[in-house]
Amino acid sequence: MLFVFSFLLLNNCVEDNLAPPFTGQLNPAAEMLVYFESQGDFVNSNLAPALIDAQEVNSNLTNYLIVDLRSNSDFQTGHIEGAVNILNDSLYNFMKNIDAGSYPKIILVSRNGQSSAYFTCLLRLAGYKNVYSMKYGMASWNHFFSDEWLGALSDAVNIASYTNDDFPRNNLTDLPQVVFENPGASLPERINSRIKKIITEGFYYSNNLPSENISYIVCYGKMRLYYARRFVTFEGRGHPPGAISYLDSPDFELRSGKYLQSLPTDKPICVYDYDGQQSACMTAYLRVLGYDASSLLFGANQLFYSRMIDEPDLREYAFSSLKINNFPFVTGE
Amino acid sequence: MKRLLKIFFALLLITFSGCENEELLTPQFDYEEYIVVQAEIQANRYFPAVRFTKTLPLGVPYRIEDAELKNVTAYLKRNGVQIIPLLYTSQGLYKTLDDLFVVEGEIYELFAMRDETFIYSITRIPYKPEITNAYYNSSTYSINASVNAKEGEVYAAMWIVTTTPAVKADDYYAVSSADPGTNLIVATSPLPQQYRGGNYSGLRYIQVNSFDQSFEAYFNSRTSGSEITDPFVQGGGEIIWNVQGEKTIGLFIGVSRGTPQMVF
Repeated sequence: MLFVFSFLLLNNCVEDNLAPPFTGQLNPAAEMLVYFESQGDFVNSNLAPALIDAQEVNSNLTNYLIVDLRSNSDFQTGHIEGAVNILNDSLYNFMKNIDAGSYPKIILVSRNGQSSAYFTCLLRLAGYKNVYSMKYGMASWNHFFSDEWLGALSDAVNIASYTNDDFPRNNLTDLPQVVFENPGASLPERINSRIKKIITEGFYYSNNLPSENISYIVCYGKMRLYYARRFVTFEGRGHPPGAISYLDSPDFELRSGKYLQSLPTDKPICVYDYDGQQSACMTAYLRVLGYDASSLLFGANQLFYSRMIDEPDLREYAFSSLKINNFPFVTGE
Repeated sequence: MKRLLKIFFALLLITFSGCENEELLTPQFDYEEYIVVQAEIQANRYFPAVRFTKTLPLGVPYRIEDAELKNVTAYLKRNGVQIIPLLYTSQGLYKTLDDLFVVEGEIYELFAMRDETFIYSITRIPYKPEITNAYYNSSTYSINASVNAKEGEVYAAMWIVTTTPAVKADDYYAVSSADPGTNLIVATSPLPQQYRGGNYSGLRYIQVNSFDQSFEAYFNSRTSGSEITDPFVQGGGEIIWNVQGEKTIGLFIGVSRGTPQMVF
C-alpha cells in the first residue's frame, strides 16, 4: 500500500504541460519575397527596369550623379563629364557612403546598358529608389562607344530551327535554398547584406543563348516577342526550341503568386528579352532569390534582328544608329 | 489495523493536498498578451485577409488601432509548394498582392513571425457539402440534412427563415463528422417557436457548411461551458485553436458554404 501511495505521490506532482515551446523558422527566400513585395515589388512592376534616355542625362549633367561602372581604362578612353568611375565591387559601399537622397537621380552607366540595368535593379531592391540605368549605356551617348552594340545585331545561325510552338512551364517547385550570412540581423539588413554580396560578384550574363538541354530558357516579354507573326521575316519562327514564355507587364508572370516557382532550382536559367536590359533586371532579382540565372546580352537583338526591324511591335526595341547620340565626352581621369 | 488506517488517511491527505497549485490560492490577474490570428478561407472565392491582432487587458476597450499588429512577416504556402506573401494593409489585415482564387481541396499553410514568435497553421479547403436529403423534424423542431461525408471534413448547419427580413440562427448547433463516404445527419438548432407552424412551410431553409476537420475541436471546446463571449478578443478559456505558436491563439480555417435547401 505504501508503495502504491509513493507512486501516486511522485506521479501526481509532475506538471501536465511539459510540451516544449513551439518554434520554427521562416524560409529565407520566402522572407525576401515578402519583403520585396511589401516594398512595391519593383522588379515586377512598371517601374522596372528604371531606364533613362541619354538625352535626359545630357540635359541634367549638373543635377544628376552619374556613376560610370566601366573599367578604369574604358573610363579614361572617354566618359560623360562629371561622371565618377566606380567598379561594381565598390558600388554598394559607395552608395552607402554618399547622401544618395540628395540627388534627384543617380544614373548608372555601363558600356551597353546591360550591366547597369542589372546593378540598378539590385540597388533598387536595396531601397535606393532614385537609381536609374542609362538606356543602351555609352553606346547611345556617342558613336565612339557604339561598336559593340551595333556588332551584336544579328540573326541566330540556327534561326531555321526557331518555332512558334509552345513549350510548357515546369510544375511549381520549392524556392531555392538560401542561407543568410547574418541570420541574427533584421530582415532588411539580411537582405541588403545579400544584395551587397551579389553586386560584388558582378553581372551574370550569357554571350550566346545556351542549349535548352543545358539551361532553362526564359523568354521574358510580351506575346509578340515569343510568337512571330505571319507575313514578317522569319514567319512562324518566333523563339528558339525549348524557350518558355513568361509575360511581363501587365501580367508579371514571374511574380510569386503566378509562376515564379516554375523556375528550376537545379538548372541554370537564361533569360532573354528585347534588348537585354529588362532581362538583366529580372536576372538580378532571381539571383537575389537564389536562382542560378543569367541574362542574354542584347536579347532578341542578337537572336532575330531582322524580325525586330520588320515587325512594327518590336521595332521600338531594335537598336540602331538612330538611337545613338552625338553628345560630348571627356577623356582621362 | 487502526494504525494502518491512520497511515492510509494521512497518505490520502498528502496525495490530494500536496500537489495543490499555489496559483489557485493566490489567483494571478497579470495581463498576458496573446497573438490572435483569424482567417476564414472560403472555397470558390478570392483569398481573404489574415488578421493579426493582440489581446488587450481586461477592462481596456477594444479598439482595432490598439489591437492590430503591423510588424508580422507572413506568407502562405499553397499545396505544399507555392509561397505567396501576405502584406499588411490596415487594421491588422494582411493580404496577398494579387487576387488569389481559392479552390476546393487545396491546402493552405500559414507561416508567420512576429518578433521572435513563430506562428504556423494549416487548413484544407473542404468541398461544397453534398446534401442528399433535407427535412424539418417536427419532434426536435430542428432542420436536418443528410450529407455525404468526405475525408478530413466536418459539417455544421444553420436554419434560415425567409421572412421579410429573413432571419437566421445565431450559431451552429453542433459540428458533425463521420467516416468518408457515409451519410451523416447534420442538424440545426431548434427553430424558434414562432416559425414552427405550417404557415412557414416552404420558407424554412437549412444551410450546411463544410469545414476543415480542425473546426470540430474548436467548436466543441468553445461551447463546453466557458463564459467567454468573444474568444478572439478575450483570448482565454480552454479553447482548442488550430493556430500554433507561443502565446498565440486563433483559427485559420477552410470553409465551403453549401446552397440553402428549402424544407417543408
